[in-house]
Amino acid sequence: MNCKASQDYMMKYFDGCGNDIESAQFKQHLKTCKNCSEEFENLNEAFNFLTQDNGVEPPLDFEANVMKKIDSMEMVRRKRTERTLILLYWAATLALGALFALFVLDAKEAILHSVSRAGNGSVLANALYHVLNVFYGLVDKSFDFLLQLGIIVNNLYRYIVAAAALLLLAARTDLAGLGRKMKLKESRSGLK
Amino acid sequence: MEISDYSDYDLIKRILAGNKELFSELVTRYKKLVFNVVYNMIHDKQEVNDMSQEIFIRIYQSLHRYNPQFKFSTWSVKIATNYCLDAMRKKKIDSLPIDEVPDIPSNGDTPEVRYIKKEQSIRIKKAIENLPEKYKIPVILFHQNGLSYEEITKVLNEPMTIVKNRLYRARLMLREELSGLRKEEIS
Repeated sequence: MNCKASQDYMMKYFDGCGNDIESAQFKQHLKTCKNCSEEFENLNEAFNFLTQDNGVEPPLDFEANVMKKIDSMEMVRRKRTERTLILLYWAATLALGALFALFVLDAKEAILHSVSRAGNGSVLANALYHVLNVFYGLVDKSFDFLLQLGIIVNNLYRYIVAAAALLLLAARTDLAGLGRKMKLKESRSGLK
Repeated sequence: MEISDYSDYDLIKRILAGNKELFSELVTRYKKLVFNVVYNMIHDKQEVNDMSQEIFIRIYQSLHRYNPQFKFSTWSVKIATNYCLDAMRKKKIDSLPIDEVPDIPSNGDTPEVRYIKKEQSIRIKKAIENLPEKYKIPVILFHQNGLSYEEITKVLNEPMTIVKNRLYRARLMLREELSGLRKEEIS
């Protein structure tokens, strides 16, 4: 076996492969070739060095710490799901409430009519009728108010948008102007 | 049947079914392996501990993705290696300062021999440390952690040809480095 073949075999050796014939030839070559022998020795030592225990041990409480972290992670996740569920619950309740209110408002006539018919002199029914009337009166008034407000906003919206734009522009230039003033001040003090 | 008798996959099935305390057993089985993998890339002992913990948490979160066709050791080494590589990239660490070389058992050596052996260990360690990362890692995975070529391709997500090439080059570089050092000594 020559040096080139020997070097090739070395790689196979460290791979854990190589047949017996090659192995014997390789050993024979190492006996006579100092260079290859030295190189093989170096690499062999290096790889043996890697397999020895590097003396690094995980601490005794390692498992406990890991499990603690996992537990707290799960708790955070659970709380988050709880919070989302509670939020959804409230959202659903409000939505139902709103729908119900709309229905009641929508069916104003029908409800008043059926209450007055069901009542026919009963004190409770009359009281309910009055309460409902007051309630609907208030709702009507507030709707009217909102409508008026809406009309005003509608007429003025162009002016409102323009005013908002001007304000924004003023704010930007103001800030930019301030910025420039600050930089001037800084450079002046720097020169001094 | 004791917990320690369960196979890795058995444990994992039970953990996924809700017995999450059993994960502690899995940690016990593989903590040394993960520690070693991390330590070979990152030498700060405190960092190694923190990162190993994080790695096990990642393993826990990915348990449902584990494919029993492959060894759990390979799979966890993959997660550990990738985590370390990401961390090193973020901090831009490549080659790290050399750490204490542990004392090799002396079994009746004279102090001089022990000294020479220790010097040799330091030299070897330095040579391995000086390998660029992409060559060093296959060396560590193959020669230290005992992974097969096949397993290394999975850990590094690189084709077989590249893995073989890298390991080959790494050995050549080591050979160069180590013979150069010896020659300096002799002269």
